[in-house]
Amino acid sequence: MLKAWRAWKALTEEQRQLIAQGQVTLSRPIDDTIALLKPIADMDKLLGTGGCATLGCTTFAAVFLGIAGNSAIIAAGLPSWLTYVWLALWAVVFLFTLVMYLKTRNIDVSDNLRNSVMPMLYVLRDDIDPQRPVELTLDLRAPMAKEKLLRTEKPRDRLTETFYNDAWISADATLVDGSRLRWSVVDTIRHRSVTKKGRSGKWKTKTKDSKKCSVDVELTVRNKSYEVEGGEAGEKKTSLSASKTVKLPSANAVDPQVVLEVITDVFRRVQPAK
Amino acid sequence: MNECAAQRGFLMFRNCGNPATGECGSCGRPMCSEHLAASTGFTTCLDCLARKPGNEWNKTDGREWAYGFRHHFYTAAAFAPIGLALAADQYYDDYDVRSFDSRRRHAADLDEEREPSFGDS
Repeated sequence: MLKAWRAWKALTEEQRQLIAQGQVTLSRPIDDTIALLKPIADMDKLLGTGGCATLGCTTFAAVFLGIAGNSAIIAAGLPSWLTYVWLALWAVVFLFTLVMYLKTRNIDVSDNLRNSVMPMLYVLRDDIDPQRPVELTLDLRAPMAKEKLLRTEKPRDRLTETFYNDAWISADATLVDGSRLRWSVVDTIRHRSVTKKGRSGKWKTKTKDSKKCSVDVELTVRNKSYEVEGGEAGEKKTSLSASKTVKLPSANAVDPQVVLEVITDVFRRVQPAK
Repeated sequence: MNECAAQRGFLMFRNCGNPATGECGSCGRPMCSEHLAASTGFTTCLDCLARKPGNEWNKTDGREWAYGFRHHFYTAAAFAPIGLALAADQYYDDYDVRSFDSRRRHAADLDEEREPSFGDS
Protein backbone atom coordinates (compact mmCIF):
# COMPACT_ATOMS: atom_id res chain seq x y z
CA MET A 1 0.00 0.00 0.00
CA LEU A 2 2.91 2.29 0.78
CA LYS A 3 4.33 1.69 -2.70
CA ALA A 4 0.97 2.57 -4.26
CA TRP A 5 0.77 5.69 -2.14
CA ARG A 6 4.28 6.73 -3.22
CA ALA A 7 3.41 6.05 -6.86
CA TRP A 8 0.30 8.24 -6.51
CA LYS A 9 2.31 11.05 -4.91
CA ALA A 10 4.89 10.78 -7.73
CA LEU A 11 2.27 11.43 -10.44
CA THR A 12 2.24 14.86 -12.05
CA GLU A 13 -0.80 17.12 -11.85
CA GLU A 14 -1.62 16.26 -15.50
CA GLN A 15 -1.55 12.52 -14.79
CA ARG A 16 -3.82 12.93 -11.77
CA GLN A 17 -6.23 14.95 -13.90
CA LEU A 18 -6.31 12.19 -16.51
CA ILE A 19 -7.30 9.70 -13.82
CA ALA A 20 -9.95 12.06 -12.44
CA GLN A 21 -11.42 12.76 -15.89
CA GLY A 22 -11.48 9.11 -16.95
CA GLN A 23 -12.00 9.96 -20.60
CA VAL A 24 -8.73 11.00 -22.18
CA THR A 25 -7.87 12.43 -25.57
CA LEU A 26 -4.18 12.76 -26.29
CA SER A 27 -2.33 14.05 -29.31
CA ARG A 28 1.40 13.74 -28.86
CA PRO A 29 4.32 11.68 -30.19
CA ILE A 30 4.39 8.01 -29.24
CA ASP A 31 7.33 8.31 -26.82
CA ASP A 32 5.66 11.20 -24.97
CA THR A 33 2.38 9.26 -24.83
CA ILE A 34 4.11 6.25 -23.29
CA ALA A 35 6.02 8.46 -20.84
CA LEU A 36 2.74 10.06 -19.75
CA LEU A 37 0.72 6.86 -19.35
CA LYS A 38 3.35 4.50 -17.91
CA PRO A 39 3.40 5.95 -14.36
CA ILE A 40 -0.42 5.71 -14.25
CA ALA A 41 -0.28 2.06 -15.34
CA ASP A 42 2.46 1.31 -12.81
CA MET A 43 0.46 2.92 -10.04
CA ASP A 44 -2.64 0.96 -11.05
CA LYS A 45 -0.61 -2.26 -10.89
CA LEU A 46 0.45 -1.45 -7.33
CA LEU A 47 -3.10 -0.50 -6.37
CA GLY A 48 -4.39 -3.72 -7.93
CA THR A 49 -2.14 -5.79 -5.70
CA GLY A 50 -2.95 -3.75 -2.59
CA GLY A 51 -6.69 -3.55 -2.16
CA CYS A 52 -9.03 -4.71 0.57
CA ALA A 53 -6.90 -7.81 1.26
CA THR A 54 -3.94 -5.60 2.06
CA LEU A 55 -6.09 -3.44 4.32
CA GLY A 56 -7.25 -6.56 6.16
CA CYS A 57 -3.68 -7.83 6.57
CA THR A 58 -2.45 -4.39 7.66
CA THR A 59 -5.25 -4.06 10.23
CA PHE A 60 -4.54 -7.55 11.56
CA ALA A 61 -0.79 -6.87 11.73
CA ALA A 62 -1.39 -3.50 13.45
CA VAL A 63 -3.70 -5.00 16.12
CA PHE A 64 -1.33 -7.94 16.65
CA LEU A 65 1.71 -5.65 16.97
CA GLY A 66 -0.17 -3.33 19.34
CA ILE A 67 -1.17 -6.16 21.71
CA ALA A 68 2.17 -8.01 21.40
CA GLY A 69 4.22 -4.87 22.06
CA ASN A 70 2.10 -3.95 25.05
CA SER A 71 2.33 -7.49 26.50
CA ALA A 72 6.11 -7.51 25.98
CA ILE A 73 6.47 -4.22 27.89
CA ILE A 74 4.41 -5.57 30.80
CA ALA A 75 6.20 -8.95 30.81
CA ALA A 76 9.64 -7.32 30.77
CA GLY A 77 8.65 -5.20 33.77
CA LEU A 78 9.41 -1.95 31.94
CA PRO A 79 7.97 1.33 33.27
CA SER A 80 4.26 1.86 32.54
CA TRP A 81 4.81 5.14 30.65
CA LEU A 82 6.47 3.07 27.91
CA THR A 83 3.08 1.47 27.31
CA TYR A 84 1.60 4.90 26.54
CA VAL A 85 4.49 5.77 24.23
CA TRP A 86 4.09 2.43 22.46
CA LEU A 87 0.32 2.89 22.07
CA ALA A 88 0.78 6.47 20.81
CA LEU A 89 3.28 5.29 18.19
CA TRP A 90 1.01 2.44 17.24
CA ALA A 91 -1.97 4.82 16.83
CA VAL A 92 0.05 7.18 14.61
CA VAL A 93 1.16 4.35 12.31
CA PHE A 94 -2.35 2.87 12.18
CA LEU A 95 -3.97 6.23 11.38
CA PHE A 96 -1.38 6.93 8.68
CA THR A 97 -2.12 3.55 7.05
CA LEU A 98 -5.85 4.17 7.27
CA VAL A 99 -5.53 7.61 5.65
CA MET A 100 -3.41 6.12 2.86
CA TYR A 101 -6.04 3.47 2.23
CA LEU A 102 -8.92 5.96 2.24
CA LYS A 103 -7.08 8.28 -0.16
CA THR A 104 -6.20 5.54 -2.64
CA ARG A 105 -9.30 3.33 -2.51
CA ASN A 106 -11.30 5.56 -4.85
CA ILE A 107 -8.58 5.64 -7.49
CA ASP A 108 -9.83 3.18 -10.03
CA VAL A 109 -8.17 3.00 -13.40
CA SER A 110 -9.41 0.43 -15.90
CA ASP A 111 -7.15 -2.65 -16.10
CA ASN A 112 -7.25 -2.19 -19.86
CA LEU A 113 -4.59 0.51 -19.51
CA ARG A 114 -1.86 -1.67 -18.03
CA ASN A 115 -2.90 -5.00 -19.52
CA SER A 116 -3.82 -3.96 -23.05
CA VAL A 117 -3.06 -0.33 -23.96
CA MET A 118 0.53 -0.16 -22.69
CA PRO A 119 1.60 -3.52 -24.20
CA MET A 120 0.06 -2.48 -27.54
CA LEU A 121 1.88 0.86 -27.50
CA TYR A 122 5.17 -0.86 -26.61
CA VAL A 123 4.85 -3.31 -29.49
CA LEU A 124 3.84 -0.68 -32.07
CA ARG A 125 6.19 2.01 -30.74
CA ASP A 126 8.95 1.47 -33.32
CA ASP A 127 6.48 1.31 -36.22
CA ILE A 128 4.94 4.68 -35.43
CA ASP A 129 6.57 7.83 -36.77
CA PRO A 130 8.23 9.33 -33.68
CA GLN A 131 7.89 12.89 -35.01
CA ARG A 132 4.14 12.87 -35.62
CA PRO A 133 1.47 12.87 -32.94
CA VAL A 134 -0.62 9.81 -32.21
CA GLU A 135 -4.30 10.64 -31.73
CA LEU A 136 -5.31 8.49 -28.81
CA THR A 137 -8.69 8.39 -27.10
CA LEU A 138 -8.86 6.27 -23.97
CA ASP A 139 -11.56 5.54 -21.46
CA LEU A 140 -9.80 4.87 -18.18
CA ARG A 141 -12.98 4.43 -16.16
CA ALA A 142 -13.84 0.98 -14.84
CA PRO A 143 -15.45 -1.22 -17.55
CA MET A 144 -18.66 -1.53 -15.52
CA ALA A 145 -18.89 2.09 -14.43
CA LYS A 146 -22.48 3.35 -14.24
CA GLU A 147 -21.80 5.82 -17.08
CA LYS A 148 -21.21 2.85 -19.38
CA LEU A 149 -24.48 1.14 -18.58
CA LEU A 150 -26.30 0.19 -21.78
CA ARG A 151 -29.43 -1.59 -20.60
CA THR A 152 -30.78 -3.97 -17.98
CA GLU A 153 -32.86 -7.03 -18.86
CA LYS A 154 -34.79 -9.58 -16.81
CA PRO A 155 -35.10 -12.66 -19.04
CA ARG A 156 -36.78 -14.62 -16.25
CA ASP A 157 -37.59 -14.37 -12.57
CA ARG A 158 -34.52 -13.82 -10.33
CA LEU A 159 -32.20 -13.40 -13.29
CA THR A 160 -30.89 -9.95 -14.15
CA GLU A 161 -28.61 -9.18 -17.05
CA THR A 162 -26.89 -5.83 -17.18
CA PHE A 163 -25.06 -4.73 -20.30
CA TYR A 164 -22.25 -2.21 -20.48
CA ASN A 165 -20.62 -0.60 -23.49
CA ASP A 166 -16.94 0.16 -23.03
CA ALA A 167 -15.18 1.90 -25.94
CA TRP A 168 -11.82 1.92 -24.25
CA ILE A 169 -9.42 2.76 -27.06
CA SER A 170 -9.42 4.55 -30.35
CA ALA A 171 -6.11 5.41 -31.99
CA ASP A 172 -4.90 7.06 -35.17
CA ALA A 173 -1.18 6.92 -35.98
CA THR A 174 1.14 7.64 -38.89
CA LEU A 175 3.66 4.86 -39.40
CA VAL A 176 7.33 5.24 -40.30
CA ASP A 177 6.67 4.47 -43.99
CA GLY A 178 3.93 7.11 -44.20
CA SER A 179 1.00 4.67 -43.93
CA ARG A 180 -1.86 5.55 -41.61
CA LEU A 181 -3.12 3.06 -39.06
CA ARG A 182 -6.38 3.48 -37.16
CA TRP A 183 -7.76 1.04 -34.68
CA SER A 184 -10.48 0.97 -32.07
CA VAL A 185 -11.80 -1.56 -29.57
CA VAL A 186 -15.28 -1.66 -28.05
CA ASP A 187 -16.25 -4.16 -25.35
CA THR A 188 -19.85 -5.14 -24.67
CA ILE A 189 -19.96 -6.63 -21.20
CA ARG A 190 -22.79 -8.78 -19.85
CA HIS A 191 -23.09 -8.97 -16.09
CA ARG A 192 -25.45 -11.76 -15.13
CA SER A 193 -26.85 -12.04 -11.63
CA VAL A 194 -28.88 -15.12 -10.58
CA THR A 195 -30.55 -15.57 -7.20
CA LYS A 196 -31.19 -19.18 -6.13
CA LYS A 197 -32.50 -20.94 -3.07
CA GLY A 198 -30.00 -23.51 -1.86
CA ARG A 199 -30.72 -26.91 -0.25
CA SER A 200 -30.31 -25.44 3.21
CA GLY A 201 -33.00 -22.90 2.39
CA LYS A 202 -30.60 -19.98 2.10
CA TRP A 203 -30.89 -17.54 -0.78
CA LYS A 204 -27.67 -17.14 -2.74
CA THR A 205 -26.78 -14.70 -5.48
CA LYS A 206 -24.23 -15.72 -8.09
CA THR A 207 -22.76 -13.40 -10.70
CA LYS A 208 -21.04 -14.17 -13.97
CA ASP A 209 -19.48 -11.81 -16.49
CA SER A 210 -18.76 -12.29 -20.15
CA LYS A 211 -17.94 -9.92 -22.95
CA LYS A 212 -17.75 -9.41 -26.67
CA CYS A 213 -14.72 -7.52 -27.84
CA SER A 214 -15.04 -5.80 -31.22
CA VAL A 215 -11.83 -4.70 -32.90
CA ASP A 216 -11.84 -2.44 -35.97
CA VAL A 217 -8.70 -1.65 -37.91
CA GLU A 218 -8.15 0.57 -40.93
CA LEU A 219 -4.88 0.91 -42.81
CA THR A 220 -4.18 3.43 -45.55
CA VAL A 221 -1.07 2.79 -47.66
CA ARG A 222 0.58 4.53 -50.61
CA ASN A 223 -0.05 2.83 -53.95
CA LYS A 224 3.51 3.70 -54.92
CA SER A 225 4.92 1.61 -52.10
CA TYR A 226 2.48 -1.28 -51.79
CA GLU A 227 0.45 -3.69 -53.87
CA VAL A 228 -2.87 -4.25 -52.15
CA GLU A 229 -5.23 -7.20 -52.14
CA GLY A 230 -8.76 -5.76 -52.30
CA GLY A 231 -9.44 -2.55 -50.41
CA GLU A 232 -10.73 0.82 -51.51
CA ALA A 233 -8.28 2.06 -54.10
CA GLY A 234 -7.81 5.79 -54.48
CA GLU A 235 -5.57 7.70 -56.88
CA LYS A 236 -2.57 7.73 -54.60
CA LYS A 237 -3.60 5.69 -51.58
CA THR A 238 -5.57 2.56 -50.78
CA SER A 239 -7.48 1.85 -47.60
CA LEU A 240 -8.00 -1.59 -46.14
CA SER A 241 -10.05 -2.49 -43.15
CA ALA A 242 -10.63 -5.50 -40.93
CA SER A 243 -12.95 -6.25 -38.04
CA LYS A 244 -13.09 -9.06 -35.58
CA THR A 245 -15.36 -9.88 -32.67
CA VAL A 246 -14.10 -12.14 -29.93
CA LYS A 247 -16.20 -13.63 -27.13
CA LEU A 248 -14.46 -13.80 -23.77
CA PRO A 249 -15.65 -15.73 -20.71
CA SER A 250 -14.91 -12.95 -18.22
CA ALA A 251 -14.83 -9.17 -18.04
CA ASN A 252 -11.03 -9.16 -17.67
CA ALA A 253 -8.86 -6.96 -19.86
CA VAL A 254 -8.41 -8.11 -23.44
CA ASP A 255 -5.14 -9.80 -24.35
CA PRO A 256 -3.28 -7.30 -26.58
CA GLN A 257 -2.57 -10.19 -28.96
CA VAL A 258 -6.25 -10.17 -29.98
CA VAL A 259 -5.95 -6.58 -31.23
CA LEU A 260 -2.47 -7.04 -32.72
CA GLU A 261 -3.67 -10.09 -34.66
CA VAL A 262 -6.33 -7.97 -36.41
CA ILE A 263 -3.72 -5.30 -37.20
CA THR A 264 -1.33 -7.91 -38.65
CA ASP A 265 -4.20 -9.48 -40.63
CA VAL A 266 -4.54 -6.18 -42.49
CA PHE A 267 -0.80 -6.04 -43.04
CA ARG A 268 -0.82 -9.53 -44.55
CA ARG A 269 -2.94 -8.10 -47.37
CA VAL A 270 -0.33 -5.58 -48.49
CA GLN A 271 2.84 -6.52 -50.35
CA PRO A 272 5.85 -4.32 -50.99
CA ALA A 273 5.67 -2.89 -54.53
CA LYS A 274 7.90 -4.68 -57.04
CA MET B 1 31.92 3.81 -34.88
CA ASN B 2 29.75 0.73 -35.50
CA GLU B 3 26.02 1.06 -35.80
CA CYS B 4 23.62 -0.93 -33.65
CA ALA B 5 22.78 -4.15 -35.52
CA ALA B 6 19.29 -4.51 -34.08
CA GLN B 7 16.22 -4.33 -36.26
CA ARG B 8 13.42 -2.29 -34.75
CA GLY B 9 9.72 -2.52 -35.48
CA PHE B 10 6.93 -5.07 -35.31
CA LEU B 11 4.96 -4.49 -38.51
CA MET B 12 7.98 -3.13 -40.37
CA PHE B 13 11.60 -4.05 -39.89
CA ARG B 14 14.23 -1.32 -40.15
CA ASN B 15 17.76 -0.66 -38.97
CA CYS B 16 18.06 0.82 -35.52
CA GLY B 17 20.48 3.51 -36.70
CA ASN B 18 21.85 4.39 -33.27
CA PRO B 19 25.60 4.21 -32.66
CA ALA B 20 26.61 1.02 -30.82
CA THR B 21 27.67 1.40 -27.21
CA GLY B 22 28.53 -2.24 -26.54
CA GLU B 23 28.07 -5.72 -27.86
CA CYS B 24 25.81 -8.60 -27.04
CA GLY B 25 27.52 -11.26 -24.98
CA SER B 26 25.44 -13.92 -26.69
CA CYS B 27 25.50 -13.12 -30.42
CA GLY B 28 28.42 -10.67 -30.43
CA ARG B 29 26.58 -8.08 -32.53
CA PRO B 30 27.21 -4.39 -31.81
CA MET B 31 24.30 -2.89 -29.89
CA CYS B 32 23.12 0.48 -28.62
CA SER B 33 22.02 0.87 -25.00
CA GLU B 34 18.37 0.85 -26.09
CA HIS B 35 18.71 -2.68 -27.48
CA LEU B 36 20.62 -4.22 -24.59
CA ALA B 37 18.39 -5.71 -21.90
CA ALA B 38 18.58 -3.86 -18.60
CA SER B 39 17.48 -7.00 -16.74
CA THR B 40 20.70 -8.76 -17.85
CA GLY B 41 22.89 -5.84 -16.80
CA PHE B 42 23.15 -4.64 -20.45
CA THR B 43 25.11 -7.76 -21.45
CA THR B 44 22.54 -9.44 -23.74
CA CYS B 45 20.59 -7.91 -26.60
CA LEU B 46 16.79 -7.88 -26.56
CA ASP B 47 16.64 -10.27 -29.53
CA CYS B 48 18.84 -12.90 -27.83
CA LEU B 49 16.87 -12.51 -24.61
CA ALA B 50 13.63 -13.04 -26.56
CA ARG B 51 15.03 -16.22 -28.21
CA LYS B 52 16.40 -17.70 -25.00
CA PRO B 53 14.55 -20.96 -24.22
CA GLY B 54 12.38 -20.65 -21.14
CA ASN B 55 12.60 -16.87 -21.18
CA GLU B 56 9.69 -15.50 -19.21
CA TRP B 57 9.22 -12.54 -21.52
CA ASN B 58 5.57 -12.21 -20.56
CA LYS B 59 6.47 -11.44 -16.95
CA THR B 60 8.45 -8.33 -17.83
CA ASP B 61 7.15 -5.08 -19.23
CA GLY B 62 8.25 -2.36 -21.60
CA ARG B 63 10.78 -2.93 -24.35
CA GLU B 64 11.87 -6.39 -23.17
CA TRP B 65 8.25 -7.52 -23.22
CA ALA B 66 7.74 -6.06 -26.71
CA TYR B 67 10.76 -7.92 -28.17
CA GLY B 68 9.72 -11.15 -26.45
CA PHE B 69 6.21 -10.76 -27.81
CA ARG B 70 7.55 -10.00 -31.30
CA HIS B 71 9.62 -13.18 -31.43
CA HIS B 72 6.78 -15.27 -30.00
CA PHE B 73 4.27 -13.76 -32.43
CA TYR B 74 6.46 -14.20 -35.54
CA THR B 75 7.07 -17.85 -34.75
CA ALA B 76 3.56 -18.72 -33.55
CA ALA B 77 1.40 -16.66 -35.93
CA ALA B 78 3.77 -16.91 -38.92
CA PHE B 79 3.57 -13.20 -39.58
CA ALA B 80 6.10 -11.78 -42.04
CA PRO B 81 6.92 -8.14 -41.32
CA ILE B 82 7.67 -5.70 -44.13
CA GLY B 83 11.40 -5.04 -44.44
CA LEU B 84 12.41 -1.43 -44.73
CA ALA B 85 16.04 -2.16 -43.77
CA LEU B 86 18.74 -1.33 -46.30
CA ALA B 87 21.05 -4.16 -45.28
CA ALA B 88 19.92 -7.71 -44.63
CA ASP B 89 21.15 -9.36 -41.44
CA GLN B 90 21.48 -13.14 -41.30
CA TYR B 91 20.59 -13.05 -37.62
CA TYR B 92 16.96 -12.49 -38.64
CA ASP B 93 16.83 -15.31 -41.21
CA ASP B 94 14.37 -17.18 -38.96
CA TYR B 95 11.83 -14.49 -39.67
CA ASP B 96 10.15 -14.35 -43.03
CA VAL B 97 10.59 -10.66 -43.91
CA ARG B 98 8.77 -9.34 -46.97
CA SER B 99 11.23 -7.03 -48.64
CA PHE B 100 11.02 -4.45 -51.38
CA ASP B 101 12.82 -5.40 -54.59
CA SER B 102 14.85 -2.24 -54.65
CA ARG B 103 15.11 -1.20 -51.04
CA ARG B 104 17.31 1.77 -51.72
CA ARG B 105 14.85 3.09 -54.28
CA HIS B 106 12.03 2.69 -51.79
CA ALA B 107 13.96 4.54 -49.11
CA ALA B 108 14.64 7.32 -51.60
CA ASP B 109 10.91 7.42 -52.43
CA LEU B 110 10.07 7.80 -48.77
CA ASP B 111 12.55 10.64 -48.40
CA GLU B 112 11.07 12.34 -51.44
CA GLU B 113 7.53 12.04 -50.14
CA ARG B 114 8.28 13.13 -46.60
CA GLU B 115 6.88 16.50 -45.73
CA PRO B 116 9.51 19.26 -45.49
CA SER B 117 10.48 20.16 -41.94
CA PHE B 118 12.24 23.17 -40.41
CA GLY B 119 15.55 21.30 -40.55
CA ASP B 120 15.39 20.92 -44.35
CA SER B 121 17.09 23.55 -46.48
